[in-house]
Amino acid sequence: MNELPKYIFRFVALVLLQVLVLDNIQLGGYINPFPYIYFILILPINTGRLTLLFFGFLLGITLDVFSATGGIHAAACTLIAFYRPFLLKAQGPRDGFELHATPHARLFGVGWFLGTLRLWLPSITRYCFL
Amino acid sequence: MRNIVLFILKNHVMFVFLILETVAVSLTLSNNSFHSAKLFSASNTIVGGIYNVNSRINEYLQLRKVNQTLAEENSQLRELLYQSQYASTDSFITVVDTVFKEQYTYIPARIVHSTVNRQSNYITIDKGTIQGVRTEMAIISSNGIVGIVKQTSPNYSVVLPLLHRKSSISARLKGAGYFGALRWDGRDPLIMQLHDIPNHVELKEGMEVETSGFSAMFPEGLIIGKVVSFKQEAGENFHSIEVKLATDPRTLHMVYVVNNRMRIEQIQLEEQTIEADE
Repeated sequence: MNELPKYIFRFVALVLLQVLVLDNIQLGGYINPFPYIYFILILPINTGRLTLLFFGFLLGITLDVFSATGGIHAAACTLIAFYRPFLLKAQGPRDGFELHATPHARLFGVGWFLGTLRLWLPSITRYCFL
Repeated sequence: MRNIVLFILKNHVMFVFLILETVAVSLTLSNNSFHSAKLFSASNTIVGGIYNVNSRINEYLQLRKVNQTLAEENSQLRELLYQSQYASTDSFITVVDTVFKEQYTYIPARIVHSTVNRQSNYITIDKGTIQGVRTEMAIISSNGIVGIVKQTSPNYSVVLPLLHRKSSISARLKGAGYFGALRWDGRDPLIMQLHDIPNHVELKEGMEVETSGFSAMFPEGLIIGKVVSFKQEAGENFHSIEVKLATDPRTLHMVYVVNNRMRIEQIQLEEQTIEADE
């Protein structure tokens, strides 16, 4: 539990970065980058699935409150939190991850991290037209 | 029964997921009628406060530009002053003016948050019910119109700007006198579409578009923008006209909330007439 403040800080920092800076950016005129879901990506690998779901929903609903989008972000984040364990399993080492590991680039190498990101990309480039 | 409970327990993650998704999706759907999502609106206090701090910082960086527009407006207003007019006669008598009555009052406000990159954009301003802002009041800037107040809290209000799929403003071609509805197709934040102008009206590029005053929100004759292109679609009775806005919605900072003192009277009369008709 002593990790909790770290994650709260990350949560607040990512939300503020998203809301105050990145929401004003459109790549190529249409695509709004959403790196805030990085928060879900870097939760420890042994995080319970229920905890993941609730964190995802909380993160999404926070973004929704800020951008007055109802529940779009919440729906997307909950979905990501739901399929994160399957993705990590498919991408992880054969004997499973170490306990308490977090899916960081420096732990498994940049190549692995980019590979994971590529799989996640469809959710990152959200519905640009909403 | 036991089996159902066991089934739910076994798949509890799935069920929690489905419940959360349902909540999220229903929030998304109910958000479309903007009023119902009061709890989660950008006008609530915490969110408004954070955006307030952010906009103060941004505002500081734009001071030069803001000063310039305010100075321009000042000079325009100064021209209207009594002192800047030439007295054509030497003798005056005091007249109690009963011909003109103040119809519009203005509340200055500052934009604390706005979006322009979505199809449904909103603007949050730092004045609310305490300062006299009510829903359905018009918002204008020093050289153009901005939108209509959609929802208010004690100190903040959320504005439905021109750049919203559901926004529709009654606009008139200056000179020609024909009026239509000004809407936005969600693409270019500087270009809006003027509908319902019949084909027989002769148009020119550069014609000015102004408010008609029919909606009882905007004062009559405020400049909205200029016609940049128009064409007649085959089989259509109306022109499709593109209007370039006079103010860039992305650079707005200071706005005015317009209070039409006679609006309620006008609306009530109109509603009574319609009811009596039915």
